[in-house]
Amino acid sequence: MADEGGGSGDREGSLREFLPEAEEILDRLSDHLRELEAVFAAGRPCLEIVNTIFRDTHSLKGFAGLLDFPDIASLSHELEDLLSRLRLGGVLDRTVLDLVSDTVDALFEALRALRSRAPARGDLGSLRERLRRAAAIEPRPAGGLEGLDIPPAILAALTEFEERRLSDSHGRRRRLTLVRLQTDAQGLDGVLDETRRRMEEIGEVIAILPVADLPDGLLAFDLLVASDGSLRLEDCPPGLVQGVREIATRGATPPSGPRQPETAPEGGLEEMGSPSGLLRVAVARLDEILARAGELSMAVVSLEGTVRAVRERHADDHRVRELEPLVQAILKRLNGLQRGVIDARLVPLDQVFRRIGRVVARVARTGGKEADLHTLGADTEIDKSVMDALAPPLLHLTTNALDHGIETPDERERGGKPRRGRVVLSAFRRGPSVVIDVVDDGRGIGLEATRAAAEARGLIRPGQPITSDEAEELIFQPGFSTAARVSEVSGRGVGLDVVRRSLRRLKGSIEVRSVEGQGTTFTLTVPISLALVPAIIVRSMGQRFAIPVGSIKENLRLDGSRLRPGPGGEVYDHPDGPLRLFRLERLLTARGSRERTGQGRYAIVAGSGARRAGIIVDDFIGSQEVVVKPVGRWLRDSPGVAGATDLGEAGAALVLDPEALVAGANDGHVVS
Amino acid sequence: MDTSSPEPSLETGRSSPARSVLAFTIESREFALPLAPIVEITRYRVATPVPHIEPAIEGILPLRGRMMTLLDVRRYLSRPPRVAGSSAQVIVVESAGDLLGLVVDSVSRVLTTEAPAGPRSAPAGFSRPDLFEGVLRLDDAEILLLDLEALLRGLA
Repeated sequence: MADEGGGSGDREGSLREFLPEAEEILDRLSDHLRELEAVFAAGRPCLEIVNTIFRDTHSLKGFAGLLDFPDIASLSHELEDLLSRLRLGGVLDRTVLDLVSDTVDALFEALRALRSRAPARGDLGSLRERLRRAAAIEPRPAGGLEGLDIPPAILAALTEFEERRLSDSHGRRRRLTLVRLQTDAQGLDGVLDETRRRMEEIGEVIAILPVADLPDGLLAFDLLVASDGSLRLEDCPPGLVQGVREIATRGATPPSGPRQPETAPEGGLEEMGSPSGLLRVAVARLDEILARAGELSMAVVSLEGTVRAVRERHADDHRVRELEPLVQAILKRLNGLQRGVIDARLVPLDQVFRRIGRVVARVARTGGKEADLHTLGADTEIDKSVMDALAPPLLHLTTNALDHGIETPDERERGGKPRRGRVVLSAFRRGPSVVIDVVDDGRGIGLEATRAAAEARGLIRPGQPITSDEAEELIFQPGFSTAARVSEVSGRGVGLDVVRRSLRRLKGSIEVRSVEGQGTTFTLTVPISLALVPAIIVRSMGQRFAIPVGSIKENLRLDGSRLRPGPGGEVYDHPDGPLRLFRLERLLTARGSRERTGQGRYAIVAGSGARRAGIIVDDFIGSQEVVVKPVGRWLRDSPGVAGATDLGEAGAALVLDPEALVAGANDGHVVS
Repeated sequence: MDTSSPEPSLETGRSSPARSVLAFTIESREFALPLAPIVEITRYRVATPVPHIEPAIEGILPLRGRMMTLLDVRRYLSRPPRVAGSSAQVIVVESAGDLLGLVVDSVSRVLTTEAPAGPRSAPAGFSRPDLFEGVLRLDDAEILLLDLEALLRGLA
């Protein structure tokens, strides 16, 4: 498209180049902003992180300028101005922090507008004016460095900003120390991080300056540290630091310590970062490779069948005998190729967690709630398309937790809880699935409030009592919401029913557990990849069905002595309590014509709480990863049908959604 | 393709631009469908049964990496089932992104014709007159034109 020659084609090209990169920078920037908010709230020094944000902003500005996105370039330029005042000693307060945050929001909005080719919302004019006014406040003038016995080579290597920090510390009569580190290249990051961390407990690391001219394989750095008390070798992590030398101020005795450090030019440290070895690839390209690999496997599978037939006819031809292992070897490698491509599509959940963290900060700020977001297992990997589809429901659940779950600080205090609420997002891999918990320590699902809301919406009969299991089911009903107040972010009208539908589309499931007054946990289970869904293949009515593993609670081999008849099916004496069982043919067939009883030796258990039920099938054939394909619109709305898959020689098989099937049984779609 | 066949005459009608149809047989009677939505013709294979209230829906079949829903046209038109073992062909049409396979006895020819707007009357022995768009009269034959849109609507 970029080659069409027209200006708009070029524009499309640079847009495609710009958007992902800019979004990545902005994501990073807003993470750092959250960090800054945390550091600021804790009253710790913010300079380090302000610097990082400054660098992010600078890259965004440069990139936007390069590819000609003037609005974003100029907005980031003004943000950069503001940040540079902060770096040079400007005061960081709540107003400034909000301004930075608003600007980042505006930048996100600008990117969104570019992506959807729609005009950006919001008033950029007044934001710009606020930025300009804030940046215009003069920073404190830098004091002199006279009287400091600092090696000229080091002084020359300091940036203007570092010099200002130095003179500021000097002006405040803090002790200045040079700490020499030496390490080999492998240990570099660890040693540097550890030392810096320790130094920052004591004081402020003003600059890290690489030392030149060392023997091969060795690296050394001087850390210029400002602290209130004297810094001694014992304060440093043992074994990492080579020497400590206090910089004399006027009238002090000349320091003793290691030899005069020599410095490398500024920026030497940054260049030490190795290239990332990353390459950006459009997901569509990977999909295409995956589709090709899939077609190839199909072709080889039919080749395998032909080879088998030929072998039967020419059993004594040794060349024919050699064919089968060859075909097997090709299949095995093809499977490896498919796996490889699927793995290449995996990304850490971190990306979506960070996005949610940003929103949480905003919701908490505007909603008068005090809450911290904790994430666990952010490095858990998941398919890019699954992650993208998972982001809206996760975001919804998290903002719900803040809006409706977490109480106001006063309310919490009255309930004997800490004023600050907690929302935890945790992810871990379980076999072929990723399990994500959204946990809050808020008020939980109120039985009476739920009952009243359900009654008001006609979901239950007036006065009908409900159990907590039923309450946990009712909140997923369309149109259900107990929110007395509608927040800007979680909005109105999009409820948990939509969240559940999104999860179903992902061949996943959602469950909730709640203790009134103590909190709520939503558990989401999704397959790691949608390209291949791990499934159990079962037989019923003489045909095969695939059931995604992620939505199966348990596979049961039925013991006939534990079966007894029950309403609409049978009841099984399960160790966890009585389990209702339904035959698959009864759940699935719209007309009773195919009703025919097989052995019914196994059951697939799905659903939770009151909706937990087992689906009786005749046989387990095995487990296999299947590609789920959409069925035509004539079947799309059949309850319990999630799609279909091609089992090769065995033909097409329906992919079932066991939860929807047992839900149908519960809702009385199945009449005994 | 049988382009040398005589110009069909219309039973009644307003004139419309020429269009192409695919003719097929069921019980040795000739029917036709508009050519445009037809994507391919395949041999008949047994489908995997699916739950559906329409008994003429035989099931689903993989077709070139997608899923096709198979409709038995005989059954849909309330005609007696094929003799077991007799051959059949499948006319695959694509509609709104979905593949529907129409099981017929055999595909006979492609015709280009001035579109007929004949009476929507079902020929003797067929229920569902709403499924027919009209009758094409040729010198040597009479072809019943099926209304694909009506057929698809009837299935939904």
